[in-house]
Amino acid sequence: MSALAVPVPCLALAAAIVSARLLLGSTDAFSLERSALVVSGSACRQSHDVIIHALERLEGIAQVNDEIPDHLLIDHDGKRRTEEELATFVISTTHGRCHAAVMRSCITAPPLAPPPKP
Amino acid sequence: MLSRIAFIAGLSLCAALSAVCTTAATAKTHEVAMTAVETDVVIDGSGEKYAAWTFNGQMPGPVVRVTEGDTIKFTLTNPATNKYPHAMDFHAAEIDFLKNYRAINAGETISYTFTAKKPGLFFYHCGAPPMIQHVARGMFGAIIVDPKNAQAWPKADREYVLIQSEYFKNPDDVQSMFDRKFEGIMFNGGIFKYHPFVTGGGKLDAKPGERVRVFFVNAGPNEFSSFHPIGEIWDNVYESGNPGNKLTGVQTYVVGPGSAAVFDVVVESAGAYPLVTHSLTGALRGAIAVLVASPEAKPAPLMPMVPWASSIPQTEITPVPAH
Repeated sequence: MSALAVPVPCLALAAAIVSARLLLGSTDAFSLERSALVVSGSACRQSHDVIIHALERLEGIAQVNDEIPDHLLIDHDGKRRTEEELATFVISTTHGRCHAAVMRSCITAPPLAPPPKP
Repeated sequence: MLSRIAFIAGLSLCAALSAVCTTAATAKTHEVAMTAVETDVVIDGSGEKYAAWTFNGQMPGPVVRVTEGDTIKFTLTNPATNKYPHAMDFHAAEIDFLKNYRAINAGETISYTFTAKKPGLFFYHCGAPPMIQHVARGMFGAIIVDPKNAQAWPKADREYVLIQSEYFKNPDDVQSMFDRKFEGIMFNGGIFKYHPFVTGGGKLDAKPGERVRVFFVNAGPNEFSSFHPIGEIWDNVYESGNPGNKLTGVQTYVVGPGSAAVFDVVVESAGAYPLVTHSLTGALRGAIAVLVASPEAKPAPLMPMVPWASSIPQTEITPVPAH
């Protein structure tokens, strides 16, 4: 089979994917960050799936992980949204019934200072 | 008749010296082969790569595990494709340094044999000059010599190996290593490798009530570790991993470069228990491993996430609609 003998449906699919990417815009290089939110309140468990689904539909979200009890670990484009904005989003999604705050503790890694210029 | 007498006499001798006979019968010989591999490895959750020198292509090298009294026939290969000499120094061995720990050039092989006479947790590392650089770049690992008598310490429900080492951003800058100008402290070759709140970080798992045994080695090359479990107390610490060197109820225990200790903790309730060096310049620059206790905890390997293959997407996330 020659390289040109590609089934028409394949070409159509490829064209559709390229068109969709052009319509959606390019995916620029981004700064992926993990934000940890601590969630509290009786509604958090009931609204668990709703919260995760809503977060995953936001632009710039790579993944949401709930492996740590009472926490949400969100990998996202840090240039697009701050971790405080993510916490506010969770609260508003549940109409305030599930409280979310940025997790800060003694093991929070500080941003390291850039090396001094010579 | 004579052979029957000899047989009975032999049995009696074995009965009298049962421990010796048992040892001779059960001691094993292990063929351990390693290759020096000069390669890039991932050292943080963003996928940053580091020009490492390794044993078998991973940092740390593979865990060697034998039982007290076993014999290790070791072979190190330094492939012709490498640029530098390499060597191997096993802290579990009691053998001549000159003959066995010499550096070999690329394209050469060295073999030696030793018996692991003392139980414990021991460091192994490359000793080729400058040794400080060979260790800093990743040529280190752990050898566990389990006690012949398994009852010498409580049975662990779960075991992990953690090896602390320093990260120097420029692996060719040997002076920065002598000056102790490290940029980070790693556990098992990664910055915040087991810190779930950091990009790309994982965790260590356990179930509430389990006895978790941490085989902890400090590869250095320079910094001391002040190993502490946040939210817990070490139930037992065994200096050099020898069951005979037992401490009880320890909050923090110092492990120097080139040394090791075994730490037991029984996590009483579900939650997160960060294991850190309480030398905070090290903890807050990478040396935090979070032990998460949960009833759903799954079995895990001795050194999870080695090598570190980041699970997060590196190139693409939800596209932004064009305006």
